[in-house]
Amino acid sequence: MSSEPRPMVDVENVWKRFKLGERRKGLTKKRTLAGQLTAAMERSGLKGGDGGGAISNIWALADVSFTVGEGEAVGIIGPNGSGKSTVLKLISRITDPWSGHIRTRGRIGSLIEIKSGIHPELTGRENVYLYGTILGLSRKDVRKRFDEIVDFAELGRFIDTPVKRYSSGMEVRLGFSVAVHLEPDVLLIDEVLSVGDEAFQRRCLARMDQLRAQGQTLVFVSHILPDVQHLCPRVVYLERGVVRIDGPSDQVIAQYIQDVNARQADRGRP
Amino acid sequence: MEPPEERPPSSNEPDSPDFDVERRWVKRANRDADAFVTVGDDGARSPGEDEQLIEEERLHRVIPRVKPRTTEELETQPPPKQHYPTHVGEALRELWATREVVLTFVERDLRVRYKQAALGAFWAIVQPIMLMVIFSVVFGKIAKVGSEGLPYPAFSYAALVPWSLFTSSISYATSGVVGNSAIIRKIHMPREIFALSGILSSGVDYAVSMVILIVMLAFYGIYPAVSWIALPVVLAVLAMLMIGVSLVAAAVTVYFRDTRYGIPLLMQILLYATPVAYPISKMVGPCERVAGLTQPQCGVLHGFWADAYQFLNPLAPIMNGFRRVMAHGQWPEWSPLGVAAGVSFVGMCGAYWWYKRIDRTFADVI
Repeated sequence: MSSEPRPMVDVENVWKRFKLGERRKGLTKKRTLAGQLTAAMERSGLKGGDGGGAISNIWALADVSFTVGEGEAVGIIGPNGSGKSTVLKLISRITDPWSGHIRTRGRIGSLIEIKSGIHPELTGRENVYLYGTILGLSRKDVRKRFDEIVDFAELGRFIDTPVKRYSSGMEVRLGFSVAVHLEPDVLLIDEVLSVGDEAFQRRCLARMDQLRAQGQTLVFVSHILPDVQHLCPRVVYLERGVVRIDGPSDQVIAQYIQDVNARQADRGRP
Repeated sequence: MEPPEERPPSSNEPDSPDFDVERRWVKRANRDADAFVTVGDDGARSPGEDEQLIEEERLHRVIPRVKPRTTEELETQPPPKQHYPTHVGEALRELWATREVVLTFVERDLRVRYKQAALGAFWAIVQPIMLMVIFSVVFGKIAKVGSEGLPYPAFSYAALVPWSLFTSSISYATSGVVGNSAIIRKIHMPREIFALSGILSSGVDYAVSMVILIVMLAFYGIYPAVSWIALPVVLAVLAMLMIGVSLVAAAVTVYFRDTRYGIPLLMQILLYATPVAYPISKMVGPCERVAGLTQPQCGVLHGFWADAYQFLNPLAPIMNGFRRVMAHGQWPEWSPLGVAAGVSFVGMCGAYWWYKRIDRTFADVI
């Protein structure tokens, strides 16, 4: 036991329930006037419904447990709809689980979708400060790393141009450069290494390698299996909200590919 | 401004061999992904399908996809919902630790507000001025509600300045929470930040209006008085009330967007229920004989209701206090203001506790 690294993230018997549609639509149908009217019409036979009408629940996570030790890089893979992003949201405390416990140590940095923190009316410089503070850096930290961030993004003289005039590639590079200079205790990455052009992607991967070499603890969610294999010695394979396998990356990825192909073969039958 | 030299990479970016291999098998596995995607609640697209298409476009590959697990498909009985305790002290500590974020948001809101609009601060201060002009004509000249011996424009504007602080802070706080929903869904931070930064940024507009009020009072021959030192006290009571109301309004808006229509209506009702356009004596004052009129002039509320009014509308003693302090050079009426302070404080604490109780799952519903 003594050789085990101390856990930085400990996910223990975590369940997360969503009401169907709740995640994106703001309100379930039952709770809006329009939804009530539709339901009433369906009941009275004025309008044919799908027969259902009851709010059904989905379980994004059903009894998920795993730990991430200090200095470890863990990949999370699985088809869409398996709860990968939900796991990251729970670790970074964006939302609470239905039940179960998540314990974390130190500062958690999320490298989630870039665009949310960036404001188009502000200049690149203003956005570096804005996004940096949103992600948890102090203004002092941002000032210290400012040149490094701008260099990494290759923005040069456009740094004082409003971001709305940037190309989408430049915008993504700006956000990403801030995020990779966070230096948190645990870095969560959700499918963002695939942003920008290929040269920038390679630079991002190189930066991740560098962070790994410095002993950065990582949780990496991605569909790009070569990246996962490259970065993470250990992979957790989630399928429909449960941990299917948790083990060395080559074995887990092989199993995943086999599963996807098997599912395809199933559907191929008449 | 010259346009940036680069454009987004074209979608048919050259295939690197290692990516290509993987793409081929994923594509094969998903040629008819639709066949097992039937989650949609009205037979149309399932939630997230659009997002998936965007994602696939971005990654240049097809992503395998499964139906989420429904309750019926669980292998074991789900545990009962766990209730996690709400620690207000911890929440306040976290809020203090992220104070820089609050300031950054205030700065961003102000920059954006003043950058986009050609007249910048003008729009923030024009609203109370317009109301002052309208009130001066309607209530000052036509209805002649009285103005406690002050010139009517100064009388109404002295209360309209804090009034517009109150209403704009609520609308900024509400739109702050909903407008930053992308951040709430993606990044963890204390969610009251969005409401608080809205309140603070409306405070900047208030400061500008305050300067205009001082100039206007000087124009009518009303100069700074000792009573102005009581202004921070009245302002503090108003701030507590604003924080409480804003937190509740913002939290409700997360679940029901109806507040977009409801809140302005409510504000309009409150404006006329509060002595802004008329003297407070018209609402709760004792009966007085006025020269030239045979009937004594009384407030509309008497006895119990006159007392209850101070509790039910803490804005009344606050607005009246502002006017007394700034325009009359008198101290506020301490006992009604004290009652308002108590109500506001309890309301603020209750609202914060409730907000922290429900804000942990804002990300799921917003």
